[in-house]
Amino acid sequence: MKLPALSHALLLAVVVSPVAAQVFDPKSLPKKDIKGSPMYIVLPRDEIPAVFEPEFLHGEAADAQMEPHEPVLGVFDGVTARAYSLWQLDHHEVVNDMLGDVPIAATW
Amino acid sequence: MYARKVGEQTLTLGVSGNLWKDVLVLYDRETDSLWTQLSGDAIDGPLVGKSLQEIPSEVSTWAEWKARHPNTVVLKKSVPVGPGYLGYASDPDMLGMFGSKNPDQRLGGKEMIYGVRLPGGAALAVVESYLEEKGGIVASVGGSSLLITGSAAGGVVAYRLPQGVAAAAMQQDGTWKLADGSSVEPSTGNVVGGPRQGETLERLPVTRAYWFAWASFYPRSEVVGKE
Repeated sequence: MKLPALSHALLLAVVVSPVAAQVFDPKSLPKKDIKGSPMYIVLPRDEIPAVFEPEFLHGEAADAQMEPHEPVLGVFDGVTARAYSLWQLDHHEVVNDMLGDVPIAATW
Repeated sequence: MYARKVGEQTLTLGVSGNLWKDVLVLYDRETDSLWTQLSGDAIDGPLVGKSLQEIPSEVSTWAEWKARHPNTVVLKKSVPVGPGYLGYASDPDMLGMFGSKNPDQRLGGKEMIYGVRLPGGAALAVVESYLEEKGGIVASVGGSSLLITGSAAGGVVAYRLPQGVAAAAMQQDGTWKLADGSSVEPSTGNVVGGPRQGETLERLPVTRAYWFAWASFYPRSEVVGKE
């Protein structure tokens, strides 16, 4: 699984102004207490776009899209092999997919 | 990687835009429950208390994965994406978005670990550099012995050893020899020789994470590979 805290580095990049001197104050965010820890509401729902209707490539088309050393998250159920670029998962965070008959969420 | 079916209900997961304990929070469209990306647990909403089942997956390179699975599909890219992130990963003082504290000083907050969580709730974290140095280890946690090792893919896999087997050693051919004489192929968990030939070891999902995030979720986690 991914470096979990990197996912909010993405949020940081989106939310914080490019002005280097600006300090982001978390106290300005709306929040809700859950199990004793605050949950911050940083971005609107779906601003980070999960994938709901994934499309896939195989064979030469797949190779054309990928670099050989590109990191991938792979899953294999003994019959079907599916791979997701980690660079792409960093962008989407979660992909709603099927592995055979099993609904899966690819997330890193 | 999670199975997104809870009971009879298939869930569709999106990104809520919220952060809780420095991890991303997902939501499901069916019930509006909120789920932690790191542990797959519902923390709010109608399904609070439920957990998504983890499915074993691996991290590899495209070339290596395709060599082992020539018929694999790969997710199509809708936008160009590239490597590299911010300087976040290399900054030892920046823990999380809001400057979280390391909740457990057994390891540095930014120490990279591989975490394994047992179904009963016991948890183990292995320091990445230690695991790389050793190639693989056997560790005891929660009454079980775990084999944690690199797979041919370049990822890390974890298996629960059979009851009563508490040791294993890596062989020159890459297999692991268990204390009962069984030989295990680490990429698959298949027992390829010895008294248990034909069996497959129980595989456990492995999470790669910063220590501070893992420790905040699993405060009683065992630690292996500390200096």
